[in-house]
Amino acid sequence: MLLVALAVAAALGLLIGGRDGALDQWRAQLQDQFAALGGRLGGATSAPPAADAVELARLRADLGRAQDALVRAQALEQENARLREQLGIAQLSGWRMVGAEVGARTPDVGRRTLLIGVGSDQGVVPGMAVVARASGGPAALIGVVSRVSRASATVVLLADYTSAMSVRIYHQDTTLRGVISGGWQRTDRLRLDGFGRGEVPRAGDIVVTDGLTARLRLDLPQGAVLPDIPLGTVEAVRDEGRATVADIVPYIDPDQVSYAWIILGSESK
Amino acid sequence: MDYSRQRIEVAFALELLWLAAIVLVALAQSMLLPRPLELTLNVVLLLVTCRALLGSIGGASVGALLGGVALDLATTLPLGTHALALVLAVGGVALGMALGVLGRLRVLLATVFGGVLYHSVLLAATTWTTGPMPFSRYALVTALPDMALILTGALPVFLLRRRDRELDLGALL
Repeated sequence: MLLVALAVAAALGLLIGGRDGALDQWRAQLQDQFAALGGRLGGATSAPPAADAVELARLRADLGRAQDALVRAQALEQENARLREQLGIAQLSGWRMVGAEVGARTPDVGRRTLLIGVGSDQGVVPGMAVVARASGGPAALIGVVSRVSRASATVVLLADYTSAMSVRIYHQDTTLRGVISGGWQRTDRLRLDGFGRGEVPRAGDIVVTDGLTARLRLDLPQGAVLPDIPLGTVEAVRDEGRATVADIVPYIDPDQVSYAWIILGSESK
Repeated sequence: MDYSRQRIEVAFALELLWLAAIVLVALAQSMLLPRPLELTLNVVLLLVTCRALLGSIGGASVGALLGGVALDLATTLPLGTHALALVLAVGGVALGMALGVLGRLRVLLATVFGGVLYHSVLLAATTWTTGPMPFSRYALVTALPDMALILTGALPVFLLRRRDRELDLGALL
């Protein structure tokens, strides 16, 4: 029981220190290591084993070198593909982006956050939009950077219960406005509400970011989220009491994302 | 004399192994574990709970502290949140086991007690740091599935202890 009491005291000390920000620097350094480790685990390499006999050792060393080269070639091929994809997105949208491996996901069921392997050294600041791409789909918003250290950043996903964002809905020939928010749910569906009077979207309508905070140049957490970033489509519309709400199917499931891009800005800006 | 020293060394080495394993499990839980049906198996909570149920409260609490810190590093929550929740869950299990009033189901009831403590602390800490959370939704989406999984994991320990008790009774008779 003494050890339990000591462990409680240590955890309380960490909690109070963590909340006051006294341990932020130490935490940021450790998180940078975590993000790097997560990236390495994503593309793990193998080392050649040792051998007793000289010839066997030489052959194994050769094999090891060949395997290393193969792994490096595959890594380069993968990086090349990602850079081509990034270039394609940048050419199409005019965004300036930096790519990053997803290091870790929050272990809590309710929260939806990611730890990614880029930080302030690469120009990332809180409030920037994070996009990813599923095969065959557009580059779509998955979340917003919430905290940044030197070499890592925390991304709060759209499905997190703290997320809310102004959006535009392309509805036939008109554009509607609304607000999407995450919630406590098992699925990745987002909630869309806050339409104007008489404005009701339909299933299949496309939803993109409004970028209201960026346009008004307000110093708010989502100030760096640009307009017209694809988000998803309307799946169904229903009435909840006096309000009309819609379910949005995101273009990409954030749980499947292993590589993402942070939008640093727009070429037109 | 030598035997007792050897035993201490082995016990110390095993304890270090346990601590290293729990940190690795925490890292794997946040980085590698798949999420079928959006469910995350809380392996660290399961392991420290089982360790406490098997009687090693000290080892379980130190493991909970280290595993919790490792989990905290992978989340947006302040450092110490998971650590405190896990350590208090171990304390809850220990308290539940120590109380004689829980009867034959005390392993399962102690697990529930520990799980409730874990989620209560996590909920309170998140409310303290990021604002109020909807309690009923948290309970339905997070706490209940998590505790169902932990109870499933604790079941073998329950059966193991029951078998041991029956063997002891047999020896006494």
